[in-house]
Amino acid sequence: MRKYRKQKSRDIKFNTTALPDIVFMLLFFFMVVTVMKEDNTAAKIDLPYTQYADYVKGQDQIIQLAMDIEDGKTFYYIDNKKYKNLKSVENHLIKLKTEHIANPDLSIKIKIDKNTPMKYVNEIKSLLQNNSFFKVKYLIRNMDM
Amino acid sequence: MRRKTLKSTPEVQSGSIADIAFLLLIFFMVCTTFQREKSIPMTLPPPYDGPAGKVSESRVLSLIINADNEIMIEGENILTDRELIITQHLQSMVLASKRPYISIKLHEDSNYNAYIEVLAMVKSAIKKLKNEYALELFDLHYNQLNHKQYQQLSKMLSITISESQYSI
Repeated sequence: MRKYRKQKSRDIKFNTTALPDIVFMLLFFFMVVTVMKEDNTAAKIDLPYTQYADYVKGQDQIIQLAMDIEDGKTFYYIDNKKYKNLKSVENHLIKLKTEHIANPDLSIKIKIDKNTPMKYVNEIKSLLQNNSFFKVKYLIRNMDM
Repeated sequence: MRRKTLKSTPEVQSGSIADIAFLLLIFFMVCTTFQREKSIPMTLPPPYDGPAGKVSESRVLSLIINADNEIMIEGENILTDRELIITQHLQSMVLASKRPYISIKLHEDSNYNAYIEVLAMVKSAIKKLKNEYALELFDLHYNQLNHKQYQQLSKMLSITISESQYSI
């Protein structure tokens, strides 16, 4: 009996010094490999800046609508999906309508380049109005970062 | 005998180092905030195609952005202290117990930046005015008001923002 016990305790002892190394290695691996949520519209759009804007409270938005003008052509993005004309943007919005009716407090995040003429902005605005998306948030460049 | 004591001394408890690593990891996971975004919240009006309603001239604060992105307040091209001037205009209207009607007229070629500038300014001016009244009436900050006080204040300070586009 005595002999058996002694043998067992000797078997259980194993070295754990390398465990933190493994944990750190995993941590560093994921730190290096992690890519933040991709936003293919962000690079091109130069957001407007004003000193009076507030931070967005919470994450209460359903979609992100972005707009960009390149060589006189307008491009629209809904959640990173690219569209070339307003008609297809409208079709996408119609699909989202049921989701929106369920949560009318959700707002639409709008990203538009600061040099965009207002006629294009107003087109988007009336499109949203006509499809009963009334709550919007105009994104501002954040200088504090 | 001496050998045995030497062998036992370098043994350090290292099992808890993993716990420390996890603790640090969890701490940073909880504390990390991702880049916060700034924005101007806005509620768009429902689409309206009917005839234009008439608003008494005395309660209109007219803001015009022309094609060169210049901002006119009541017909004057003002470059500094715009927010203050807007606040003063609104205040004098409220004191004369009129419901301010802010009309923002934008040229179709004015750019989005100017629009955002004006919108943010108007929002900020309204917020300041509401805050002033909240402090005066209830001795509270605007966002500390309860529902009843909030409604009383909104009734007193009902401000309309209208936007339109022109192209001449």
